[in-house]
Amino acid sequence: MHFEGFDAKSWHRIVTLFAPGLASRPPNEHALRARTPGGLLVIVHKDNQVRAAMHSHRGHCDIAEFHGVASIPKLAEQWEARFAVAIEEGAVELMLDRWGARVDPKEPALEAWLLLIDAVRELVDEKKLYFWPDLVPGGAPRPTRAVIDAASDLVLPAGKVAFALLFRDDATLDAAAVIARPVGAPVTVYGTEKVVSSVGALSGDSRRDLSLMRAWLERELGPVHFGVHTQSSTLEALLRSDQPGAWSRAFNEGQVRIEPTPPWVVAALGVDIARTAIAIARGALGSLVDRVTPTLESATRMVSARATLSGILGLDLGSLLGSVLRRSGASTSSNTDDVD
Amino acid sequence: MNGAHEEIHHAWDVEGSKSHTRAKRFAMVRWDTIEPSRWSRGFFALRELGFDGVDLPIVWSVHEREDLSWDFTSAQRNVAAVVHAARTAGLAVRVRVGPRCVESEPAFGVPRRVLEDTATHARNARRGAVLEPIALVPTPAPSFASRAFIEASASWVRAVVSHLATTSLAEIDALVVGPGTFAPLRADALESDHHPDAGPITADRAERRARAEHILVSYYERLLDEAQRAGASERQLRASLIGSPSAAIAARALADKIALDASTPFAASGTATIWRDVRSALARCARGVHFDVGCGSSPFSRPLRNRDAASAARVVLAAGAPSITVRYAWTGHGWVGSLLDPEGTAQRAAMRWRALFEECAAIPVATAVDASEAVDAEPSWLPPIYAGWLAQYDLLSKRTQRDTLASEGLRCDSSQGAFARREGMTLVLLSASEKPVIVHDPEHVWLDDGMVEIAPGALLVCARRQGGVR
Repeated sequence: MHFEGFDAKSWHRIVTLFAPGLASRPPNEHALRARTPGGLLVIVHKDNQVRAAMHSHRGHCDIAEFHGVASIPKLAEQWEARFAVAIEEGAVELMLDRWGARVDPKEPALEAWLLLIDAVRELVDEKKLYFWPDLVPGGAPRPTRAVIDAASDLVLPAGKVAFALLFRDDATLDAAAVIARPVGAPVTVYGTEKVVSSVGALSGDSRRDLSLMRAWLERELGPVHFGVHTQSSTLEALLRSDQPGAWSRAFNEGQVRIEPTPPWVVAALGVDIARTAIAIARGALGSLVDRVTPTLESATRMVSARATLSGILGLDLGSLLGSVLRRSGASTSSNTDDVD
Repeated sequence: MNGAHEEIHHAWDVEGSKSHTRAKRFAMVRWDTIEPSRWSRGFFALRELGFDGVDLPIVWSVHEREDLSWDFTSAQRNVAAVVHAARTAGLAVRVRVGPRCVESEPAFGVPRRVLEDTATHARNARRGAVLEPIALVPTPAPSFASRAFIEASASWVRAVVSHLATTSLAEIDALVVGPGTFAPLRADALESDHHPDAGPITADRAERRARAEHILVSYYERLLDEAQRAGASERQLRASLIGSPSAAIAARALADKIALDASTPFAASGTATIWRDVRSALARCARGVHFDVGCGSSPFSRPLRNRDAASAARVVLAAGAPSITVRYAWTGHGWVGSLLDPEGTAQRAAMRWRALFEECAAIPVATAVDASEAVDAEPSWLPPIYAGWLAQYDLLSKRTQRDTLASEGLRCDSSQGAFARREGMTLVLLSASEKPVIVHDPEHVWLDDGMVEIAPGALLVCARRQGGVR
């Protein structure tokens, strides 16, 4: 994968939309971060004794009392951590040893990462590794390479291009990204600076901007599979929303413009609407709808399984990302994030 | 060679005698990713920004052809031409030959064919390869005990230095060999390497560390020997440590033998961690030490804004670093946040670095650092996986810092609010706080008003007042 046309500021903006915890910080704000709630607590233990503990904001932690992984939620609360991992001593080495022994370096990197997922799941099953909170209750099916290839082809087929334009509340461009998936060549991601230098100033008028982008991309890189035009604040709110139907509502109200609209987006929005309808019906009709709901849910699952990314992967990635972001705390503001 | 360059070159030559006071600044340039017609323009732009020299990595995988011959002369791989272009722009030149010297290249610049040979792989307890994720690709870590890898590395160093010796070695101020300061090398690839050439491994942690140190020092010595035999002078040669100087396995053993290149901790690890690592390296490295500071990031690592990168560099300079390399100040692709675009034009963020260099011009380099400031990562409870990275986040151990503020009779309103370093008649004060810090000087030795308020993250360089007797 190649990256072109980002400066440090625009890249930082894109990354922190999805991972605010990775925000860049100057060294003199280290102490401030130590006082900020959140972060990850890592506990290495053996025989119900803590061998070591560290917090991603605070460094070393002295933990005197530990009664196995059952005490992790309480410890996380005590240390104001939003995520926690408990590792039995020696488990990381075991996992990496198993992984290294299984990987064939001549195979594609994706195969190696899938084998790492296997090694992690084994440790979880052997109760040597414990994550809190459990963001995927009951686990999720481990995708195969074919499944991931199918998902990639669904989202962005080879030879096609996709783009996203994010604007601040004052209609100035906050971030832009173009993903090109040429046939027989690595995926290339072009950033804000490349877009601005190629297309010129974008106005925030979605009709004009989408048309300009499509003209440029189809001239230079290939047919556009889909393009997204929205405000950063809208996207951040949607990513964190746990309300069924939030995406379809934003789409219908024009807060998010997606053009062209590929079938998987239509299907995903349709499933979103169907879920909303079920939720509303359940609330309004109570037990009466319980007889109908299984059929509706089954139909929704069928559509979802065939035509949406979550259906193919067997895991609702949007929901998982939303859960993580809601726990991760505040996003970085596009208006205050204007530092290079 | 013009006058400005002679002055810089002279300062470099006499580094040991400390005839200069200001730290030298080098810009790392991924010259092999930039159109050669732009080199000259970019080098002049770097000089305008306040850089004294360029740091040019020569990437093994870029220069090795499929038929195993070397390409040091074609347009974008012409080593002599790029060195000449830098010298013409009045810049001093450092060269890094690795074998691993850039993080933005697959396998850190080691050719794929080398790592496809399983005889070069570090081995885990199950005899599988030790894997390092490099740009999202799980890549076998090389074994520094492997005869196959040692021979391949030595052959590369011999080839590149021999070529330099016939073209431009005399124009090069420093030639750096070693596995790369940045590398997130899994320390267990060294401490627990089960490669057959590494010899028996024991359960005792201290013995394993001694074994790893022996393996790594032997590897460095072989590379340095090859470089010298190919024509490099002892004065030019330096070795790059893997990761933080306080955690790098071979740091102690190499410090008395050769000048070192070392990384500095991440900006987010905090002023205290960066300051302590730099002071520790200065105290320990008898032959001199050069520091790498970040500028931008790989798209596969945590993003770093230039504001924060420059703040971290300010700490490194305030702590007394004699020379720094800003990595990567100019690159064509594979990096986010370079100071110049691929055409060689300075970006807006570059002005932040020029302002920093102007601000730091009065900071003297360290001349004598108290040995008590040298610290090591203590034997840790942690397994040695990514020990270098954990050290960079200050997660390996808690260590105390000698308090120069107190020894100079200064008081700070918060114990962690400021750091101080005295260099003869000059005092450097650095704020480590996110709020303004007030430093009191009750005896009026350094401060006219007996106190000063330092802005968050800022520094103050002051001279001892006449009559100040402390």
